[in-house]
Formats: sequence, C-alpha cells, structure tokens
Amino acid sequence: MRTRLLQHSNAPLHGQRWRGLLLNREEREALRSHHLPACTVGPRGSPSRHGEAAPAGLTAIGPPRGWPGSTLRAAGRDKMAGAGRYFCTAGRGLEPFLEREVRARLGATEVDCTAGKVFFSTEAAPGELRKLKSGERLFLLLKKRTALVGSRNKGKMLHDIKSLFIEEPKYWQDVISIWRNFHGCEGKKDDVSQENPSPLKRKSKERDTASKRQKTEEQVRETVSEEHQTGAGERCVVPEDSQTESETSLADSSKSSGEKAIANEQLNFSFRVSCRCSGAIAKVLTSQEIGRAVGVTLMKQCGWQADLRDPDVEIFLHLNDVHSVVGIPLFRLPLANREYIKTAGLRSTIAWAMASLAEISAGAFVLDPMCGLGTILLEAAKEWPEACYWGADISDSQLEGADVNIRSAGLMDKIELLKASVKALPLPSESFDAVISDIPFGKKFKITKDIQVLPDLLQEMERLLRVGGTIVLLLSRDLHKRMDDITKCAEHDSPDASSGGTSETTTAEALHADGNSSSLVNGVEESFLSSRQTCFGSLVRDGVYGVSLGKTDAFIYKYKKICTAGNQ
Amino acid sequence: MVGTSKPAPLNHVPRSMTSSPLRVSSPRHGCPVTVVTAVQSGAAPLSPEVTQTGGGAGMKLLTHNLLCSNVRGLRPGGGFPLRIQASDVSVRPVPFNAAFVARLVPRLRWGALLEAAESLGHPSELPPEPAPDYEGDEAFLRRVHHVLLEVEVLEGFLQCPDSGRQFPISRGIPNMLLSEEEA
Repeated sequence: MRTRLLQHSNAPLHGQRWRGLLLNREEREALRSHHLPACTVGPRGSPSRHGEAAPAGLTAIGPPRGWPGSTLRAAGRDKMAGAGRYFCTAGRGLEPFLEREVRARLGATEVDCTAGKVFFSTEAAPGELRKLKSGERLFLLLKKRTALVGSRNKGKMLHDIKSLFIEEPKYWQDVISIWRNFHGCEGKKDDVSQENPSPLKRKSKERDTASKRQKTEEQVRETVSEEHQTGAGERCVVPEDSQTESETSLADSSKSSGEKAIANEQLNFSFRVSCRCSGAIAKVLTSQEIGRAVGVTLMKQCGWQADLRDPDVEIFLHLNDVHSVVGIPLFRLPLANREYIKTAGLRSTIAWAMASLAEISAGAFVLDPMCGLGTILLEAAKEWPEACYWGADISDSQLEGADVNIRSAGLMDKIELLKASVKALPLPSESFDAVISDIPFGKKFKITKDIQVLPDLLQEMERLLRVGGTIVLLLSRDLHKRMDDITKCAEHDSPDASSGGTSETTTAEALHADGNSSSLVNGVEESFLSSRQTCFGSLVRDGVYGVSLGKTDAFIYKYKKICTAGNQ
Repeated sequence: MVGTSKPAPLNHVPRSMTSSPLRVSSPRHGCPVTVVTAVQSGAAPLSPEVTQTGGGAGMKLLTHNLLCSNVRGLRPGGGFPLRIQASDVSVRPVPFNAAFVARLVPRLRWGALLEAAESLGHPSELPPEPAPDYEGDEAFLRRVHHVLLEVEVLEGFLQCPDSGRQFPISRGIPNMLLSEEEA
C-alpha cells in the first residue's frame, strides 16, 4: 500500500515511500558523500544493503554530517550555527504532514520519512525547532544504522546493541555539550558541571515535572501507542512513566555499579535510557533488558549516574526491523503539548494538520461549526493569524472551555464564538473560505442525534462555503465508511456528474475499501480534482488521510467547492 | 465572566456603557417589538480611549456583520441585519493592521455595519460607502478597524428584524440556537 504525500499546489512530488528508506536521488547522494548507508527497503520491509561488508547495521561509518566531531568543530564554528541532524516522531499518518512542515518551517534537507519518524537536517535554532506542530517528540540523532539482524543468541544481540554506545570519551562529551547548548537556549538548568543540585532543589523540580507528567501522562501513553510498528513485533513499554517495573530494576543495578563508575568529576551527570523495540529483536529481547544493558554500558563508559525520575539527559533507543536509532530528546515535553492550549480536545498535532490542509490565506474567513474546546481554531489562528476565525457549538460547557482556551492563548482578537447548531447555522451562504471540523460522532463526545445527520451537515457546510473554498473534516472509521455511501448517492443526484469521472471514482473507492488493519488511506492526486467529479453537490474530494488517534483511527477528508451550474 | 483574571461579581457594574441601550427599532411590517429593560449605569459618553482591562471578549461587529436569523419562514433577506440591544458594551484595543482591514472591507455589508455602530453609540464617522481608494486611506481604515474589531458586545440581545425573535448575548457569546418548534 502506498501513501500519497500531502499535496500542496506548488510543491513538487517526491517519489518516496514513507514506509521504507527509499530515498530520492538527491538524498541518496547527500548521504553517500557523508559515508552513511543508503538503503532501499523492499515492499516487505526487508532491507537490502549496498556495499556493506561488516556485520549487519553496525559498520563503523563515522559521524553523521553536522556532528561536532567532524568538520564543524574543526572549523571552530559555533555548534548552533551548523546543521544538526534530528529525527522527529510522528503519529501514524502524520508523517507526510511532518515532512512537509520540516521543509517549510525549518528549510530541512536530507529529509527521510519512515513509519513513525522523520529524519532531517537543519540549521534552525531550538526556538524554531520547538515550533514544529505535527510531530510528537524531537530528538537529536546520534546513531542511525540499519536494523540489527535478529539472532537467537541474546548475548550476541546485546553485545551488538551495546557497541552502538561504545565510543571514545570525547564523543560523549561532545554529545553533552551539544545537548547543553540546546538546553541553555531553552533556559533549563544548564550548568551540569556543578555538583549535584541539592536534594531540596531536585525534589521541587521533581514535583513540577511530576505534575507536568500527570498532565501529559495520557498524552505520553498515546505517544507510545502511536509509535507502534505495524506488523510483527511486540509493543514495548517505554519507561517514561516512572512507575514501571523495568525502571526500578535499573535503579537497583545502578546503585551497585554506580559507585565505581564515578570517575569523571566534570560529568556529574545523570541519565536514563528509554528503549523501544519491535519486530524481530523484540522476540529475543525485551526493552527492559536492552535498557538495562545499555544503561550499564553508559555508566561504565561515561561515569554518568542513572536517574529514572529526573535525569539530566535521556537516551532514546529505538530498534525495529527497519533501523536502529539512538537519539536524545531535545525537549522535556512532547511537541504536541502546546503551552498556549489550556485544555486540549482533539490532539493538537491532528488539529494543526487539518488546518494546514485548509489553505488558509490572509484575510480568510474560517469556521469550525462543531468547535468543542476550539483546538482546531487555536492551532489555525496561531499559525495563520492573518485570518478571521469563528467557532460554533451547541454545548455551553464546551463553549465555556473554548472561551477559556482562547483567552489563555491570547487569541481573543482572532477567534469569535457562537452558540449555534451546525444543522442551521445563522450565517449567510458563501461567506467562508474554509470550514474545518472534527465530527464528533462515535468518538469522545456523543452527539445527540443519529449518524444520519451527516448529509445534512455536509449540505450546510457546503452552503456556507465560497466557491474555491475548502472543507476539512475529521471522521471516525465508521463515518468514513458512511461517506462512501453518501457520496455515491450524491453522484447520481448531481447534475454535473460526468461519465468520464466514474472510473476514477471507483478507483478511489476501491482504495478506501482496502481493509488492511494497518491501512492508511491514500491521498488523492490532483488529477482527481481535474476530472471535476463532484462527490456531493459542488464539493470535490481532494484528499483522504488516515491518521491514528491513539486507540482508534480516523480519516481527514478534504473537499474543495467548485463552480457548478448551481452556484454560478 | 469566564476566564477573567479578576472574577466579576454577578451584578457587576459594566465599566463602559453605551449611551442608548434601549434602542427600539420602530415597528416595521407589524412585527411585535419587545422592549428590553437593560441595566444602565453611568452615562459617561464613550470614547475610544476608554479601555476595559481584564476580561471582556465580546461579540465584535465583524461577527454581527455575518449573523443572520435562522428562524423559519422569513422573507428572503428578512433575517438580516439583526438589531442590537446591548446592555454591556466594551472597547478593547486591538493592534491595527492596515492590510488586514483593507481585506475585510469588500466582504462587509456596509450599511449593516454603520447601523450597528450607531446603535451602540459609536457613530463611526464612516461614509455611506467605502471610497474607491479606501485601501490607501489609513484614517478610514483605522475607523473601520475600530468599529469592526474593537467594540464588543458583552451582554444584550440580537433581534431578528422580520420575526422579532430575540437572541441573547451572554458573556460575549450570542446564543443563536432555535427551539425545536422554531427550527
């Protein structure tokens, strides 16, 4: 199955498969020049390597480009000024959005989009990196290798994994100084060369992070589930939640080996290992075992102390059938946590992705007719402030929450609220450029009426939209199936249904009918639009994107309103 | 009001008042007119310099410019514009962006905007129609900006001109929901 990338009208189409490491020619050449392997992955996800003789995936290749151990440091330039290599995790289905965003926002190069992660290089400063909206967590890339070969020999596999971390001491010092640069910019406690902070200070910090963690706990759990590699493989617990058993066992072992490891006074540094593994490796080793082994290795190597509650730095290790990746998270909280949103409704990454599809231009009028807590409007108004936003809802409590959110975000000048029903909106026809909505049936909130109202909703949204305007909807899987029925009916009714378009429609529907459990529905090419096949009155479908909401799947639908005999 | 840093007591005295909250439109076409008794306090004339600190995000006239009555059985166009009967109006400064305002002008129902501004005691000093060169006229754009974006109705009613049906505005949010029978 193939996922079409997000189509912006001006963006070139890249021949990438998000699932594999198939790079385009430009990226392959860039990598080759920096001695990293360019792998192509076949349809079944099995890597085939070019010109690698050494044991699978662990060739000593040399530092990735932009690493301080290479040219940057030699040149004596400020590390921040050079390009760093990062990867950002993404919820399933949001990878194309994230890829587009890193290019647009950060001018990223060497972008490599895989399932659940986007790798890229950029010179952008941390402040800019923090603004990424469609990603989950952002990491500094330390190591990226092709997947470890799964063997029955646990010991051998552990050895291979540990060797990822065995480097000259200078390497880890460099890592720390880069990391400190980032956190210096962020204003966190940055002077780690000091003695351990007093227990009191540490406790208060723990309290803060504990409360933050509580707030984000649910979101973090969602993050975990979103990283689930499709196909074979066990989903391992990420020890970000400090109550898991794996962490306590690591703490015990650290107490015994910790004492002998404190060699380097300078690096009085604490760390934690977060390990995720899936695929062939997960059958042999658990993430806890790996985490423990890596933790011990690092303690011996660097003299750091293990701290599970509030480490200075977190080492993130992800092993699956595609690659082995080591990184350091740049920010404590996931990117999806927005400091400007007080109470989140819809997941902010998805809300932003939807807004990004709505083609909001300066001076646009944008409506969310079932705004709930206003998450979509908040994301849109924050990113595209040169527009006017309206939110409508029938529920007082939701509107109240939205009001609080809008004030907390300081967006009162941009977003106005109404109490109104989406079935009969008190707004004139053809007055909005974009209508964006998370249709709440069958998800968190139950709407009072039946699913039958969907055609009415569509009709009302269509009425409000100007010709050339955009509708973006988030539908549950059930609704998604229903959409096909609705649009089929509308085709027969629509006077503009052209016979030439039917074959393409059937193709599109056949794709949607693809019942793979891991299916992410494809985006529809621009050619579909050009056929002018209307799906509903004057609405033309311009893309469907399957995304994960954590426990369930949902589908983002994009429609454009075209000029028809009816609305000329 | 929701979300204000200082919680406002229930019977709080509005800090800025329109000078004519009881604007009652002359009965047209035999529609019944409901007189709304509004709390009036302080008769200080409103000037743009009077700003309200703290909370106070209300319905802007930009929103009013779009809102229409969705009561059934109205004559075409009979649901617009809604008559404003405001009991609590505030002025909140909003950063001025000339290009942004210029984009709004062609989308506005101009007559309704002027009428609404008048009814709130903010005669807008705006011409009956935007001049052809309005885009370059900063003074004009500032006046538009002021009435469109800085004047907010926190409490009051919007009345359907045709049916007389009243839609309440509470905490700055107009309630346009119709009952089962009306819908």
